[in-house]
Amino acid sequence: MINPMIKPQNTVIWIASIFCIVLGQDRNYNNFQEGLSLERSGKIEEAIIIYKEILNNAPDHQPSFFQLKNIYYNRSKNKDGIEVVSKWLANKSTDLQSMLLLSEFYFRDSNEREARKIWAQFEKDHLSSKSTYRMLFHTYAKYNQVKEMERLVKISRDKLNEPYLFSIDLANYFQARQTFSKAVDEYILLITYQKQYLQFVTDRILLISDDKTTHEMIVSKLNNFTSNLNESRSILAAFYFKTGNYELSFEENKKIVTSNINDIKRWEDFATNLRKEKEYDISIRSYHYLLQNFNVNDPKILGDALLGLGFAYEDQISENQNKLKFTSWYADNIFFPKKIIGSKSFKENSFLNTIEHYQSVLTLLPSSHTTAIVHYKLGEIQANVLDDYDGALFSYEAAKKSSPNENLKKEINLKIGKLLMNAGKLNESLDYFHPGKKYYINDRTVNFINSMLYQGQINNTISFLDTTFMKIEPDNIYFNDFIELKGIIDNFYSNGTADDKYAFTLFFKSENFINQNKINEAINTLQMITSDHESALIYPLALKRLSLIFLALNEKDKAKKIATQLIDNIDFKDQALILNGEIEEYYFDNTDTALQYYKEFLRECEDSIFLEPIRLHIRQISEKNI
Amino acid sequence: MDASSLAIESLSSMGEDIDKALDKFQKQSIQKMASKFQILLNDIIVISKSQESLLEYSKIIPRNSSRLSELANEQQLLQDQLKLTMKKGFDLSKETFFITPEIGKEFGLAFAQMNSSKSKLFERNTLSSVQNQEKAMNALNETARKIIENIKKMRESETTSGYEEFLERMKAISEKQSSINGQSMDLSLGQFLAQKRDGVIGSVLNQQNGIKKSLQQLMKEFENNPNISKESLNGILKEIDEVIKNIEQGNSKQTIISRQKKILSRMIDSQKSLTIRGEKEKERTSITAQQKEYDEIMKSNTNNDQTNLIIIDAMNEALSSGFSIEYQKMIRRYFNSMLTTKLIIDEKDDKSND
Repeated sequence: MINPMIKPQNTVIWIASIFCIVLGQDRNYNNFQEGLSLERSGKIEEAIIIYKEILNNAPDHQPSFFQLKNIYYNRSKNKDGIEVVSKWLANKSTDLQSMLLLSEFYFRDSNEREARKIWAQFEKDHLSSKSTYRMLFHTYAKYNQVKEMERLVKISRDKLNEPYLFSIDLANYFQARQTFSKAVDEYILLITYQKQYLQFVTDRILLISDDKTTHEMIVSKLNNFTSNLNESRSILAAFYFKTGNYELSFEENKKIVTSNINDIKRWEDFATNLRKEKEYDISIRSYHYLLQNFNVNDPKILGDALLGLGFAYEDQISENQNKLKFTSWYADNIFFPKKIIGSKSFKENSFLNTIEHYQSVLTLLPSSHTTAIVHYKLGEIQANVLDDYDGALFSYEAAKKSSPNENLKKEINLKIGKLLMNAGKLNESLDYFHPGKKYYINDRTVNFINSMLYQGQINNTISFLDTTFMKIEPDNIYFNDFIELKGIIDNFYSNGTADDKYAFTLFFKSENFINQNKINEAINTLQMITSDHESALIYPLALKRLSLIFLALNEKDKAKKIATQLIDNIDFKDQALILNGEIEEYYFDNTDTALQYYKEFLRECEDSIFLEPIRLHIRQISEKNI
Repeated sequence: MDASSLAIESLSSMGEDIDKALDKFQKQSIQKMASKFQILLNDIIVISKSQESLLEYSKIIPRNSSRLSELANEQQLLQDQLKLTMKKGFDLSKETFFITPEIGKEFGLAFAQMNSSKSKLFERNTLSSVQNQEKAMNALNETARKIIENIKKMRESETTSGYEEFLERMKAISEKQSSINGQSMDLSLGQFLAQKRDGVIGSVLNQQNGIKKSLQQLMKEFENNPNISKESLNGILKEIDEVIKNIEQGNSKQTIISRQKKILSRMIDSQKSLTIRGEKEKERTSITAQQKEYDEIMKSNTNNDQTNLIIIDAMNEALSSGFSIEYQKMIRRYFNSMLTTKLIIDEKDDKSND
C-alpha cells in the first residue's frame, strides 16, 4: 500500500528516478565493458573516451577511474593524469592512494614542487598508522628520495615505538642499489629485535657477500655486535663457512651459546656440512666437539653423529689414498662397492674408543625403535668403516631385537646378507639374495648379481641381467649401473674366446677379494691375468685396476709402470694417457711431464669423451704456472 | 665325371665359399658397427654417471657452500661432453638408420635440461636445478636403452644400415602393386566375364587399400627419418588415393591403369634414390678404389685356379666396400658371370686347341 502522505505525482517521480538510476547504472556497466574490450584490443584512445564519458555522467564510477588513471600512468600521460586525479579528489578528499598518485603524476611531469607539497601535506595530516607510513615510504622509495625515506623511517620508529620498522624495506632498497653497508645495518637491526628472521637475514647477508668487496665490511659490522648478539655470531660463522674460512667458522661456532638442543642440532649440521664440503679434518673435530661438550640424549642424533664421524674418517682416508681427479674405478657404480684399500689408520685412534663408549651406553638403554637405529648405525660403522664384520653382525642382530620398524628391519636384513659377501660366503649369499619369480630391482638384486659374478657364474649373470634389463626403467637409480655392467660383460666376455672368458672370471674373483679386504690375493689374481692372459679382452681393465690398487697402497712406481703399459692398448689409450698424467701430477708432483701426457691425449684421442675436461684442466694448470 | 659336371660342382663349391665369405663379411661389418654403437653408449654412460654424481651433490650441498658456484661450471662441462657425443651420434646416423630420430630427440631433451639446470645453478637455485638434472639423466638413460635395443635389432636383422629393411619392405609393396597393375590390365582387356568382373574390381580395390595401409605403416615407422623422402612417399599415397577414388567411382580403366603405372614407377624411383643415397653415405667411409688390371690377368690364362682366386678376391674386396645387400647381390652376380664367362671361354679355347 502506498503511503497516503506521498502524493501520487511524487511517487511517479520517485519511481522514475529509481528507474533512471538503474538504467544509468546499466548503461555505465555496458559502456565500461565496452571500454575494457576496446582496451584489450588495443584501441586505447577509444577506451579513454568511453571511460571519460562514464565519469562525466557518474563522477564516482570507480572502475572507470581506475582504468583511466592506469592508462595515463602506464603511458606517461602525466598532465591528463593530473587532471583526472584532481577531479576525482575534489569529491574524494580521503582517498590517500589517489592523493599520492597525484603527487607521482606531478613528479613525473617535472613538477617536483607540487609533488613535495602533497607529500608535506600527507605527512602533516595523514600519518596515523603503519599503513599510511608505508604508503608514503614506498612513494619516496619509488622516486629515490633517500633522505626523505630515512627521515620518515626515523619518525615512524620513534612514533610507533618499533625500532626495526621498515628495516626489511630499507635493506631491500639499499641492497638492490648495491648500497651494501646500509643494507647490512638494517639487517643487523632487524635481527637484533626479531630473532625469528635469523635464516632470512643470514641468507641475505650471504647473498651480499657474493660481491667480494663487501667481505671486510660484513665482518667488521657483524663483529661489532657479536659480544651481545648470538645471532650475529651465527651469521658470521655462516659467512666464514661460505667464504671457505672453515677454521674461523669453527671458532665462531664454539662461541655461540643457545639452548642445549639448538646447539646440538647446530653442531651436527655444521659437522655434516663440513663433511659434504670435503673438509674432513675439521668435520671430525666438530663431531668430537659435539660428542664431548654436549649431553646428546637423543639416540637418533647420537647415531647420526657417530655414523657421520665414521664416514668423515673414512672419506678422509679415501681422499688421501686417491688423489686422482679424472680417473676412478667405476665411481658410484653399485656393482663395484666403494672399498678402502689398505690400512685404516684411525683403527688405533680415539674413534674406536668413542664407538666402544657409546656401545656400552646403548646396552643400558631400553629397547625402542630409536635404539634400534643406533645399533644399526653402529653396525654400519663396524661393517663399512672398521671392517669388523663380527662386530657388525652383533650390532645388526641387536638392532633387530630392539623393535625396529618394517623399513629398518628390511635394511638390517639386507646388511646381514652383505656381511655374508664380505666374509666370502658366496654360496650362502646367493641363497640369501636369491630373488623369487616376481622380484623388484633393488639392493637385493644387485647383491644377487654380485654374488654370481664373484662366484664366476657369468653366464647365469648374463641371463639374469637380460631379464632384469627388460624390467628396469631409465628413472631407476641403478639404471646406468646396470648398463655399465652389461657393457663390461658385452665388451670383455660375451664375444670372447675360452681364454677371454676364463680371464674374465679371474677378474671378478679379484673384485671378490677386494670386497673381502684381501688385497694381496686380489693383486695376485690380477697379476695372473696380466702375466698369463695378455691377449685376453679383460687385460687392459685388469691393468687399470692393478695400477689403481698400487696407487691406493702408495706404491706409485709400480702404479706408474703398469699405467704406462696400458697406453699401448688402443681402446684404453685415452684413459691410460690421462691416468699417467694424473699420476705424474698428483703423486710425483711433476706438472711438466703430466702436461706432456695430457697434450698427447689431446693430439691422439680427439674423439674421447674426456676431451673437454682435460682441455680445461690443461688451461687451469697453465694459468697456475703463469 | 665329365667336364661339365666338374664345372658345376666347382661352381657350386665356389658359390658356397662366396656365401661363407659374404656371411663372414656381414658379421664383421655388424661387429664393426656394433663397436661404434658401443663407443657411443660408453660415452653416454660416462655422462649419465657424471650427471648423477652432480645431481647427488646438488641435493646435499649446504645452502651456504663455497662450492656452489662450481656446480654451474661442472654442468657446463657435462653439456660440452654431451655436445661432442651428440656429434658422434649424428655422424653415425649418416651410416645407419639404427640411430633413430627418437635417439636424437632424447639427446636433445638431455641437452635442453642440462641448459636449464646450468642457468639455475648460476642463480644458486640448486633445488630447482635438481629437477632438470633428473630429467637430463633420465633422457640420457633412455638414449642408452634405445641404443642397446637398436644394437640388438641390428644383430637380429643382420644388416648394419637399416636401409635394407626399408628397401626390402618397399620392394614387397612394389611387387604387390605390380600384381594389381596386372589385374587392372586384364580388366581393361576384357579378360573377365561380367559377373566375375565386379568381383575382380572389388579385389583390386581391396588390394589397393591394403597397399595404402602398408605404405602408411612404413611411412609411420620411418617417420622423421631425414634419409627418407616424405615428399615422394606422400606423392605415391596421393596417387593411390586417386586410384581408389577412380575405382570406386567406376572411372575409365585407362586412367586407373595409367595412375597405377605411375605409382609403381614412383615406388621404384623411391627405392633407387634411397639406394644411391645409401651408397653415397657409405662412400664417405669407404676406401678409395684402386684400378685393378683384371683384364690382363684374364687374358694371361696362365693358371686357371689362380685366376679364379683372383676373381674371388676381387669380389670379396668389392663386397667389403660397404655396399648395401642389393648391391652385394649384384656384385656377386657380376663376378659369378665373370667366372661363367671365363669357363665358357676356357672351354672354347680348349676345344679350339684340340
